[in-house]
Amino acid sequence: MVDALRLSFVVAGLATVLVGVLGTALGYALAKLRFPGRGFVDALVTLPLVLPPTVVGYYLLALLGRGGWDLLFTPQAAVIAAAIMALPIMVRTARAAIEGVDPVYEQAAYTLGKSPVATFVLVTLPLAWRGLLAGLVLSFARALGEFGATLMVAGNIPGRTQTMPLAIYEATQSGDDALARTLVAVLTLGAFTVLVVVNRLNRGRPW
Amino acid sequence: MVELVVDIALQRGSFELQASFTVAAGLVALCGPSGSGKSSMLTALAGLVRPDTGRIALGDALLFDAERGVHLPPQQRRIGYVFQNYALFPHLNVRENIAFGIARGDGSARRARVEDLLALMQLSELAGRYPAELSGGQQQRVALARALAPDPRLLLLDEPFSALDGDLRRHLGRELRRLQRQLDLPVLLVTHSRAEALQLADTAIVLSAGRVAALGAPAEVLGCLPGALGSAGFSW
Repeated sequence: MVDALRLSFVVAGLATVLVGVLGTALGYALAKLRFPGRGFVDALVTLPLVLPPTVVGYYLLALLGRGGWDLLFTPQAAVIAAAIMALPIMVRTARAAIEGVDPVYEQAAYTLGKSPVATFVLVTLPLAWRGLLAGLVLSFARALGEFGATLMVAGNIPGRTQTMPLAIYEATQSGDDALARTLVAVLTLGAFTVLVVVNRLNRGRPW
Repeated sequence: MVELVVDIALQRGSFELQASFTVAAGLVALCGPSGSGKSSMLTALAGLVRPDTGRIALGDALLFDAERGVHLPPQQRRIGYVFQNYALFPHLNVRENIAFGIARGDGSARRARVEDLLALMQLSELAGRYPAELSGGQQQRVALARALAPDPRLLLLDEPFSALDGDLRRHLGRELRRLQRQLDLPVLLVTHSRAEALQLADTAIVLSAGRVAALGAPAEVLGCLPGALGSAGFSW
């Protein structure tokens, strides 16, 4: 159980880092830039939100199984699966947070000589940080609970790719009710805490 | 004296700005009713919006020339901009707001410049406050100081007094006038108020429906054209 717990947190943590960077960049692009194929990109990154996780897992299986990456049934595959499943949440919250920053602040920074990158770091990011942090927390929760896609690409190898949701499934199947109950309690408590934190972040403004 | 030469056309939806004028910079008031294109003019001058055609030059500096494909980004124009609601960065205090536009590098020169501006705008005692903790008049002074910090060659002000009430408005108007002379800095001021233009400006440009309706000394331009401007929202 400790193995599953530790692995879950490591996998979800790494997935959140990936998603934080990629999701913020995509959220910024969708919020600010007008480029051809914008609607397509928007739909593509949202797809994991509406597709069954097993379908996403199937695509990843095809993708990761090729090109000699040899990532299938490794913890890395679990990280990628969790990241892809959490990406839509991060992109959507990041986009909303960035769109929530009045563009006049960015224009002011431009007239004060700051490049778009410097403006993003010095103005947009600090003004959007609550929304971005809420997105990270939700992404972490989503990654922590990922089951279907993870099972498809990383399997269910105890101590290697068996995260908590998979351990719960196995404990239930093998009749180990005590273990299942403990794991369920841990995940529920974790998810509840996440929601309380997110609600607090969404309340008020940081300044 | 520096000359500002503007000859631009800009289409946004059904609105069309087509304005051509040359002014010897001093304190120029850009007047006209709402929707006459005053704000579009400012954003075009600042480089935040790219006109469809035409040319903008300030003294020797060519800022925009459609034919030659010149469009200096706002970062390179050295034009200070005081936004209508000041757009002070809410997460930075007064000192940090003012320092924002001064290039990093020489730390002591930067600090000295900020202290000078704080003193000039009588903000020294408020240096540690955040914009939300300031009155409208104080915010306006911070916005001015911030815009002046990178040593601009032209200062744009978008209705800088509209958020303030009567007495303060007149007081800060006089301050601006004094500052403009002291720094010998060209200033273009957008205003709704005829009284403000008459009180402050050397030259007035009247915009109406995206076109220059009149240009000249404020008393002449604003004094003898009653009703000729379709004066919705223009306080005569």
